[in-house]
Amino acid sequence: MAERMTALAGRKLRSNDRAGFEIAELCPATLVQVDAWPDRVAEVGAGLVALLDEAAAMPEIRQVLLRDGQTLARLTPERFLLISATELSVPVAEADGSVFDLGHARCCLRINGEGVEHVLAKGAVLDFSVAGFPVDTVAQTMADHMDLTIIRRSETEFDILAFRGFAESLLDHLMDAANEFGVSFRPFSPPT
Amino acid sequence: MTSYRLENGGREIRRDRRLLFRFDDRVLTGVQGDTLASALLANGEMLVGRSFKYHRPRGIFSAGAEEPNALVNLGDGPGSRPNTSATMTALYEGLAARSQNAWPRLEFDLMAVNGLLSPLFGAGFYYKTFMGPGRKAWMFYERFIRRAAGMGELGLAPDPDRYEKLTAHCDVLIVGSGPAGLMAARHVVKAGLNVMMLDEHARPGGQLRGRLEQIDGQDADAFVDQTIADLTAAENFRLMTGTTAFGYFDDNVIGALEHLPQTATAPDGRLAERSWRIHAKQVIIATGAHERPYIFHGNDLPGVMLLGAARDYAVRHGVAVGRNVVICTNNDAGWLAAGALVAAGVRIAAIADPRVNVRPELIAPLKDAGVEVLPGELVVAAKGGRHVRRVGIATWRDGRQMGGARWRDCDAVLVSGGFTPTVHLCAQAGSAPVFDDRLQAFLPGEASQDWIAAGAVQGAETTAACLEAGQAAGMATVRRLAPRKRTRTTLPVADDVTFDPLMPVYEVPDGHQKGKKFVDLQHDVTAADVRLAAREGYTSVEHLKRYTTLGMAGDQGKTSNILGMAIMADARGIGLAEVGTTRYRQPYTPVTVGALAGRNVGPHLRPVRKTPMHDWHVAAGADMLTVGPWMRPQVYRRDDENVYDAYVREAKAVRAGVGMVDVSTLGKIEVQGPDAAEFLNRLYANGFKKLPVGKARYGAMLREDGIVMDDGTTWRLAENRFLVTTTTANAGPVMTHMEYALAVHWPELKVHLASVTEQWAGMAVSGPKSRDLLAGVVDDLDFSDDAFPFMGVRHGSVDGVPVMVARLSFSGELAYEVYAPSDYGLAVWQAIWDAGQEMDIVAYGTEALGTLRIEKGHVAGPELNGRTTLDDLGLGRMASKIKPYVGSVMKDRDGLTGDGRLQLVGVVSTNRTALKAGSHLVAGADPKAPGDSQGHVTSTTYSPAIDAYVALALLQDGRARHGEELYATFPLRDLHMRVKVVDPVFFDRDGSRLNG
Repeated sequence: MAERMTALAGRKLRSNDRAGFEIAELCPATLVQVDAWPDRVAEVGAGLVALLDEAAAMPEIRQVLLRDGQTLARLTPERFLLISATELSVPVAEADGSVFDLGHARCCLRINGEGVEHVLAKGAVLDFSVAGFPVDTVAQTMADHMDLTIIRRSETEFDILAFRGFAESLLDHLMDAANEFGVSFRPFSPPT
Repeated sequence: MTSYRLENGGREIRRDRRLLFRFDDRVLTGVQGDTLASALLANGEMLVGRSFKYHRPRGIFSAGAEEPNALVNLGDGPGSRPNTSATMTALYEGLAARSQNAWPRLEFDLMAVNGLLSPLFGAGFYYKTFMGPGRKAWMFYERFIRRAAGMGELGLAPDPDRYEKLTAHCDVLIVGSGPAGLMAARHVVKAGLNVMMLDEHARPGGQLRGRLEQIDGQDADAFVDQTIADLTAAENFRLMTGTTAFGYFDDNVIGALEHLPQTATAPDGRLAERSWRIHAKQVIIATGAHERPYIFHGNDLPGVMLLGAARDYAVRHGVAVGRNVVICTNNDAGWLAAGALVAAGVRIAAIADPRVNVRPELIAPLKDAGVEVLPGELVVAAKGGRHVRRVGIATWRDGRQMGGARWRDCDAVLVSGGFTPTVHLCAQAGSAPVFDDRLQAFLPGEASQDWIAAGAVQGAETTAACLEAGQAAGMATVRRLAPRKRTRTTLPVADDVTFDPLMPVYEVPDGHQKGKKFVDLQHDVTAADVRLAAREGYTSVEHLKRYTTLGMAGDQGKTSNILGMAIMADARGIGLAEVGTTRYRQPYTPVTVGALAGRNVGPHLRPVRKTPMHDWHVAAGADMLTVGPWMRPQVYRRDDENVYDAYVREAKAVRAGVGMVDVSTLGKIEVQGPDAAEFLNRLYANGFKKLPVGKARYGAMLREDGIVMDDGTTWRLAENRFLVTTTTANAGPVMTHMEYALAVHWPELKVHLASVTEQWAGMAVSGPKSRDLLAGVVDDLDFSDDAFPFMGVRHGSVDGVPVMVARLSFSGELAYEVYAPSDYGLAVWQAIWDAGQEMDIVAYGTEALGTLRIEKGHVAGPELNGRTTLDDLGLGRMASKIKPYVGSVMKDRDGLTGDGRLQLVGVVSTNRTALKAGSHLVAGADPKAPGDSQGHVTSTTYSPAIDAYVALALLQDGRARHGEELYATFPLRDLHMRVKVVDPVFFDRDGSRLNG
């Protein structure tokens, strides 16, 4: 089978001497949007949560459940985004909702660094302080004319999802915005 | 040389750190902590520029953002900046500044001849030129006016500096760090609120930096330092100096411009400015007030300056603005400023005040210093050449000059006519300023957004009053944002005095003296101009502004607006309150275009969207074309081909063999749910409920008003799962249309949608050999006609990659669209390409794609132009007559039916000439008498299939006019070509080629 080529595959690993800001491309094996019918949200949510953590509660709107390599973000009252480094079978029956495979539709970047809030503030208009955008939350917004889904993983780490076709523009925007901190980029490379 | 550096003093300068800088061709010396203005004054540079219209000599007038005169071109080369205020520019080693608006040089400006022509250049001069001897006269002198107009020159080379745009959020934004701002900050920071404070100057403190008062027993300067130190120690406080809040916008959003410290040796790409968009829950406007002058004969001479500015230069920078200074003030603050000047070591010859009774405690220190004190007197005129040399002082009673002026020598005249609160942000936020009779000033009106004005901007006159107002604003803010917090701050005690009311003086009338009296120094608007405007009927302040240009320059009339309104009030015989004021607009001070653009320049102008095969196209030599944000291959040129050669070759190759085009940019929307078929049936004009699984159908959707919105094919992938394709341009609007319909019209339908445009890489393989080619590449799929009929949708794999294949044709040839998951798109494209080599496959771009579809009469964006109906496009029979759908009612309304509609036709050039899209179809053979437009050409191409230049067009009642000869006229290019109207399907009308 042909090798999978992510949106930034082949782009050179870039770094400068004082890289205090890191950008890494991810290639999740599962990236699906799950929409539940209004009366089936609890069932769909419970099924999805169980994939990550049997004991966890369903995330509230804008909240994210993060577990080893897996992310479940609740984008709206009835919409979830499930991201996993490993392939997952998503247990949603037609009677409960719909599953849309977006595994190839998004470019996924993980950014990390002390100046991450400042870098994001150069593109998006959200409040990226921890108080305004707490850890384990998600937001859908725009930066530099690109639609983005942004997930806060820690005080200094975010995942950003954009339409695949914008991958290079998004990378250029972030590299430029983070330049003052020194920045490195690592494209996705499949495990050998 | 008149102004000079004092031997002692200067709170902000480091005398041991000397800085060399250049002004015109002179190398001068300043010190760290100087502004360019203070450094120029320290070097005796009284003349710094020439005026806008009359090229009169002008000197530094103020010490802040209100400066009307001291505008320079800062820097050399592409990054230089015209109209930079010397008063707001921090000096740095190697700074290079050039004076503006003078030719051949500042000291000897030949354009000063304009002064002799001043009777011609009065109010409304520019407008009157339109009404001159006639239009030809205007055409003649327009170029001279344009050449003479404007200040400063903008280079054409790209600006090498870097600009950034950022967003910030805070609980409280405090604009201004004077006494009111500092006190407000102390309170809100203590309450734990997230606070940002902006100040346009390099050092915080506002007016306190130039004052000699004691606050809580320490110098005002030390009080500021201590307060700032306390505030910045708190994590919830952020101070941004050198940052101007230039605009107050809706939703409590403030625009601010941060000026970064500059050096002469910084490389290209240095960060020059940041523009900030600040979202604040509460704004405290503590922007203070600008001192204003009053108007007298010769008031524009270099050396005539605002009194408070002279105090600031002495106290803050250790610079005396003259050696023989005369002061005139109509208010108590002026006496305090005069006292500060004396204390700093500036020699003051005399101080006049039109008020007869001035408090003895204000007079005493000046008398003790040997200053001649002149109560009941007013400076009524100044004389000089390149700077002031003599001043006329006269007795002033009841608003009138009593007798002639007594003249005395001087080298600086410092004036204070009162204070104008800096209400710009309040007005921008929607508050109409209100006139205060005691202060003779416009104050902030009622707050329409979440702001509080505090301090001098609100009319507070003394330091103590400003401190108190700041504390009150802080307390009100805490009550609103953190009502449970019990915060206490102690009000500092300032030792300044209570002020008596000022005596209003705006203009010294003509009579005893002659000469020009300037209202707006930056735009050379005189008192006579304002009175002329009144005589000519421009009595409203809005008309006055536009007719005279009063207050329209870069300084926005900060020192002049109220003077002009006072003259208008006098001319109309009414009060200032009745005259009113213009409403301030953003920006408060000029903002560079670079700061507004930020990083959206050059390669970062806007993001681009690339398909998974983008790199392949570039490597294959494609000319890439932007289509919205998408990059698409236009043509793949070979050798010396031009675009025409390339697309003709590509189109021919498709019809003769096989070609492949990247169609990944088509919009793709996945529709799921038990009501998916019903939803599409309601959305599209044609039926979708009975579409079998594994089949696609061409469909068109209408807007609610009956006009065609978009078209495309929809594939039924499973009973309750569809893939809708849209045109590239309409992917977003169609998705929005669908979501709106589901949310608003039919919430009862169980349907979910998702944009999957980028999930799939699409490639259309077209031509008589396409079946053979794909049959050899795609596994697990039977390509026989029976197993895979036209409009069939099947699944297969290419090198293990699962693909969807649909037998569709935009070209009219046997053709398939192959969709692969995007990350495998390039691999699948390459596999098809490699297999196609033995069939001489070509890659084709958007040009050939257009040629092939025009030859077949297929409509696209130029025909789906937001004005056409299905019937106009010859697709009327598609529309269902048995079901309702979006637009089904309105499509039959008057105006969309009946005679005279523009209908789709083909046109062929009868003399083998290329047609131009946008040409009008007319009957007249004479280009100069073409007759009425009967329609227009929408899409053009050369058709290799029929060897003719052809086009699609929309023509009145066109379907009934096949065979007619008309002319396609395009007057802008002098094109007028004979064409024949034909059926829009130029080639393969029976569609037999669809079967290969």
